[in-house]
Amino acid sequence: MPQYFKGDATELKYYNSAAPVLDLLSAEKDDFFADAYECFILGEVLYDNALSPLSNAISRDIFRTSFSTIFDSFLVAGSFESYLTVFQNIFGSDVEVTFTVPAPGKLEIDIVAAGVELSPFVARYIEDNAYVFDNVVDDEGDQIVFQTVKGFESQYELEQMLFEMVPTGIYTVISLTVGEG
Amino acid sequence: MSFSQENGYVPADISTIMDSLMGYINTQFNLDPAYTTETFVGTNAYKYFYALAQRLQENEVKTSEIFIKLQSYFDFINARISRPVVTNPGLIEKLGAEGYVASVKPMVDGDAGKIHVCVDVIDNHARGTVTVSSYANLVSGTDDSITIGATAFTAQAGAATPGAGTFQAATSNAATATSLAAQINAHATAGALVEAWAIDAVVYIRALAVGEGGNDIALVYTDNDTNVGAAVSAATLLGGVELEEGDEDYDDIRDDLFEIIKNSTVAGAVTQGTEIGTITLSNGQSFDFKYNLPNRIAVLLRLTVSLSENNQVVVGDPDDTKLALLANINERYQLGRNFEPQRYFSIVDAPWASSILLEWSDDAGGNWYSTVYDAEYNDLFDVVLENIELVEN
Repeated sequence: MPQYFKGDATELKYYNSAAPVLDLLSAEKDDFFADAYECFILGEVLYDNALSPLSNAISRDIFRTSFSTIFDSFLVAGSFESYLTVFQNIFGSDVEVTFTVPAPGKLEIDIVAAGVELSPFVARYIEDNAYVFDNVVDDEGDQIVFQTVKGFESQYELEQMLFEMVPTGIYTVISLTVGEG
Repeated sequence: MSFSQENGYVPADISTIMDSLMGYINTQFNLDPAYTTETFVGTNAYKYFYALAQRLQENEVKTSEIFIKLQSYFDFINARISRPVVTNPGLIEKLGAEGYVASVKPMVDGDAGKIHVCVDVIDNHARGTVTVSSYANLVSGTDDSITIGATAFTAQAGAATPGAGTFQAATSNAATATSLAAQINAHATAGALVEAWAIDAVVYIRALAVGEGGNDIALVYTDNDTNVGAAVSAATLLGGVELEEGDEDYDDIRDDLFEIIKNSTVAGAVTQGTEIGTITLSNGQSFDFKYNLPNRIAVLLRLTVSLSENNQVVVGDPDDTKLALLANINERYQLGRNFEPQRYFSIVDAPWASSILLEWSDDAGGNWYSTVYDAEYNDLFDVVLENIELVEN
């Protein structure tokens, strides 16, 4: 709370006129300070300036939303759960990952991913000075969706990322199957 | 006002903000004479802006901290990434942060792909082992047996039926140990009393219930002919300790350790040890994780303190001297470290002495050494007060 000069009614009215705006600005700065490390814009800055491992290996869209989780997993880089975390961020939570340890120092990782992301086709119109959103359907009433590729499309891309993640000394073989998840 | 290349963002103070406002008021209202700092204070305009200026300054401070936030971000992330817990020192640090003293075996070629972790914890359940030395001898002549509590498990060459009082002695000592462990766990009586697991040719057995009651569970190898096929650690399980207030059951500690080790070791590197836990990953797969308990070495300590002829201070009480030695050891020595006798007590601790000699014996006083004990990663000298002898010359 600020210190008032006199604290009379007129002074308080002036203060209270501006206080909500200042409260809002202050609260938003607090939010920024609390969540800045997860902010997608920070992810974009790190990616665009190649300031992070993986920024050359995975797509910008994935990195900007996942970098915070991925950095957390780097603390335990190479552990089972760190692989699962990263793969789930890249391919989606429905990715199927299977580990095999055929011998000490050897690791096989099989990834089966759907590989596609479905986005519903939505249209909007203005009613009462506000946007109203509606799903777009075909002549049978079915929702129309768009399909885009998610995660990696090739073994090469995957190996680029793996190069950043696998600890030295562990012989790792990875296989990716897209479209069957 | 606030930013410079030299100093970054330095928040404007209240008086600077008020002076700035005063200047703009002078301009907007074309005041003649214009307000000065002295005449501005106390005016209505000053009053209206005074509290708001404080709020502006509050936001100034927050803005100025963005650089610090950014700096700490890079420091934080760099530090985390450069010191992952999956390295040997990182794993020890991680376990230390969770309250455990641990050590990791230094890597050698022969251990490629394996991690040997040892954690200084005590199992308060009674334990014992059966070591299979010759599976063939177990079934030559009259079949031998292993008794756990009141249940005898008799060796046989053929496959054992789960739940029966038999085990298969065939193929190898390790396979025989595996069969015995499985039969103990599958047996209605023995399986309710103990749990068992096999590592190579050794079957590890521990009481399910915590406490001294487990020390009464019989562990007997009966050689029914003249050729020995196995050995037990003792006639009963040993080491069961009652829980005291504040003590944690080792089962809970063990679960905690397996979870930490799962999250702090590299996939593909296989953990080694006598403590085994099957942990399920978040994808539903299960893997075994292991660690070792310390190799506790019972030692006697002999501290020889020679009185200085020039001494002018009061000679310490013998019990206090022993306690001081024990405190120094507890502070400076731990699992896996070499035992360095001359590090733990000096003339600084006993200013009345002219010389100090600390010796250790790991054979009940048969031999005494003042040299450094070169420890394996899992060695731990078990130092207790009653095993410290003080010699004063």
